[in-house]
Formats: sequence, C-alpha cells, structure tokens
Amino acid sequence: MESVLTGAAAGVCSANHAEWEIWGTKVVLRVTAPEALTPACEAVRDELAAIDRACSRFRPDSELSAVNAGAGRATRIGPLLGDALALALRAAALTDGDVDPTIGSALVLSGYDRDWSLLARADRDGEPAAAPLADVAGRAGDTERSERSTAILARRVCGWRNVALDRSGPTVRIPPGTAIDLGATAKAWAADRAAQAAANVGECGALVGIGGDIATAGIAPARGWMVHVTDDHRADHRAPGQTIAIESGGLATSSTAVRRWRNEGKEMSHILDPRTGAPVRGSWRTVSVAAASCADANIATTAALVRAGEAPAWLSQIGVPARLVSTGGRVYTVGDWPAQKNAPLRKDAP
Amino acid sequence: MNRLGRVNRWLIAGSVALTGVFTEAAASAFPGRSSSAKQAQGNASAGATTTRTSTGSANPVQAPAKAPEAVSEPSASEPSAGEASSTESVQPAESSSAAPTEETPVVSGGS
Repeated sequence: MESVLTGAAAGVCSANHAEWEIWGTKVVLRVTAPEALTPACEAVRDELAAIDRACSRFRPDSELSAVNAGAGRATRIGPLLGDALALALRAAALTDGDVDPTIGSALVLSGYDRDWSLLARADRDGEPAAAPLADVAGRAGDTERSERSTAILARRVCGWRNVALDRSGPTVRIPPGTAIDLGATAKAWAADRAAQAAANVGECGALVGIGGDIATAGIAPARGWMVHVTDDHRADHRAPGQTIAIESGGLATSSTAVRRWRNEGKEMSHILDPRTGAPVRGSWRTVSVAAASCADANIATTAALVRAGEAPAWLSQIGVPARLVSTGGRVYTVGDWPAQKNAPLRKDAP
Repeated sequence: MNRLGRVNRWLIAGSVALTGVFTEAAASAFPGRSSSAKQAQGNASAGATTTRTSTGSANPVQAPAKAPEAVSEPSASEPSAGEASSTESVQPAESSSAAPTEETPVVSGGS
C-alpha cells in the first residue's frame, strides 16, 4: 500500500457516484441514496486515511514502517494494524503461504520500493530505477547475476510463520531483515471497511472499489451492482471482459497484466511467488473471484495466480465462483460463475 | 478362618490380574486419542510441507450469499457464431467521454 500522496478531492461523477485517486490507484464510491453521497465520501476518505497511517509501507511515520524498522524486537501496534496483520496471517494460513505478508524485502529488492505512481512514472520515462537487487547481486555476468538475484529474493521472504502477533498487547515481532507488506490483503480489506462505513453513515447501500477490488454493504440496487471484470481496473467498462451483477459481498480481480516495471532489464510485476521471491510465471493472466467479502475474494485471486495450474481445482474446493483468463486469452470459469452471454466458455482448465 | 483369609487373598489377586487383562483388551479395542492425535499431527505436519492444501484452523474463505449473475451486453471481444471458444484479447482501454451513470458498470481489474 502506498502512502496517501494525493489530496485530490473526490470527483463527483453523478448524483450517486464519486471517484478519486489514492495509493496510485482509483477509488470508486457508489451509493443507492444520492443525498448520502457527500457524507459517504467523507466516511470513506476518513477510513482510508486511518488505514494508510497504520498500514502503509511507504510512509515513514506509519505503524507498519515502525514494525519493519524494529525487526527483531516486539513493537507495540494499534488495533487497526493488528486487524490488518491478523487478516494477512489468516490469508497465509488459508493458502499455505501462497499469500505471504513477509515479501516486503523481496518487493523492495525487485524495485518496488516507492509509491506505485512514482515507480510507474519512472518506468514510463525510462528513468533508471533504484536497482538494489542488481547491487546486491554484485558484478557478474547476466546469467550468474540473474541466478544470484533469484536466490537473494527467495532468502528475503522469511515466511509468515515467523511473524509473532500478540493480539493482547497488541504487539508484533518479525525476524531481522524481514519487512512486512500488506499489499496483497489490505486494499481489499480497506474496501470492505470503507463500504461498511459509507453504508452506515448514509443508511443506504454502498459500493466501494479500490484499484478494482470491489466491496459492497447494505441493500443493493434492484438489479444488483453492475461490475465489469477485465484486465485493468482503469479500463473502460467496454474493454474486453464480462459484465456481471452482484448483490452482496465482494469481488476482486488480480492480474499480472498491470503494475509491471523493469529492473536492470528484467521484467518485474508486483505479484510475487513467496517461495521464490520472484514474479509469478503461471498459466493465468487475470483471475476474478466473488466471495462473502472483498478480502476473501482477494485472498483467492492472489493465491490463484501463484498456484497456476492448481488454481481451478483449489478454487472449486473452497467453493467460490471464479473467472480465469489464461495468458493466451482463453476464459475459464469455476463454480457458479455465470457464463458470458452470447459466448460459450470453457470449463476445462489448461 | 485361615482358609477364608487365603481365599480372600486369592480372590483379590485374581481380581487384580483380571483387571489388567480387561484393561489390555480395552486398550487394544479402543486405542484412545493421545497416540492417534500425535500420529495425526505428524501426518498434518508432513502434509503441510509436502502438499499445498489449505489449513483448517483459520476461518475459511466464504462464498458469496448469492452467486454473480450474467448481464446481457454487447462485448468488444464477443466471438463470431463460428468460433468454438471464448478468447479475450488484451486491448487498450477505450476512454469514455460520457460521465458514468447509475447503470454504468464499475470496473474490476488488476491494479
């Protein structure tokens, strides 16, 4: 999670719809009662600001930064970060470590050491990004350095089981040399909390989308909330994909097609395999999952990208509707995910 | 009286012996929880490291109360009638000049 760099005011797009930027991504707010839009906006912004102060890896004054700086000793934390860490560890337990919050050091070494908006700009402008991985790997031939880099990345993921979270303190201790990154779970969790805050203050139905992670609360519109799943959350709703309607819970989409950059000539992406510390290289380009909460949906989508060929069976086992797009562009569905009208879908995964 | 005391001692000894026999028989028929729990833990530990399955201790991922429903719409990637499968291409996003309305879908995609 990046810091709140922008103080951009919420852009009101219609009577019940507002959008603005945060964490290098787009926030969308929809409410069923137009008169609730303004107070709902305020409630969402307050909620996200609080989460940013607690959980941002990029803010030097955040609670998480204090935890990472104090690796090796127990650090006292607040209840909000405690909740976020508990969710991250739950995600790790549910996925056998496919979603692991201790990948922070590996992300930094891969070049993701700053707010995404800054990294994306640097990459777009062809500026040489900080290349700590290359520096650590040392001077060597390309092949040898690549192998050394991979080994370094793998060693920097200490494993979620080494995180000691004491909810009674609350305190948390992580091993020296470790850094926590909550990017895999906190954004979706923030969407859940923000949607509920909006619904509570507005006494209406609410939908909050943060970077494509969609959470709902309260009573949905008569036809449900219309959601278009596609590769990039910034795409138009007419981009290749599928439009579906949800009544409750959350929907998340994870994709390796976005948030990519180059580090010393190597193509990197933000979804790492905790077992190697390197970007996932699997069967899927984009995975969408619907679940009872956006956090649960996001746990499933991230793990699916890591699990690659095992993803469809695992998603079926945990019983969530899912849509998977292969790297070749083929669309597969799992469980009760609806067929795309006018287009037959494959059920047999590659 | 002496004979009675001797009989009593034999009865007590016999009862103790029989109790031991019955205990052994019961242990064999019903192995109990401690040893099998250790065995299960051992298997689970081995399983957690060798097979990638979800653990049961954390609250599992919950499915939605109602599954998503399809919405009829014209799609840029809609295949022709002769195509056998659906293929989704990566295309640049089209910008929309019109302000989103209540009916405009919210986009869920990677970020």
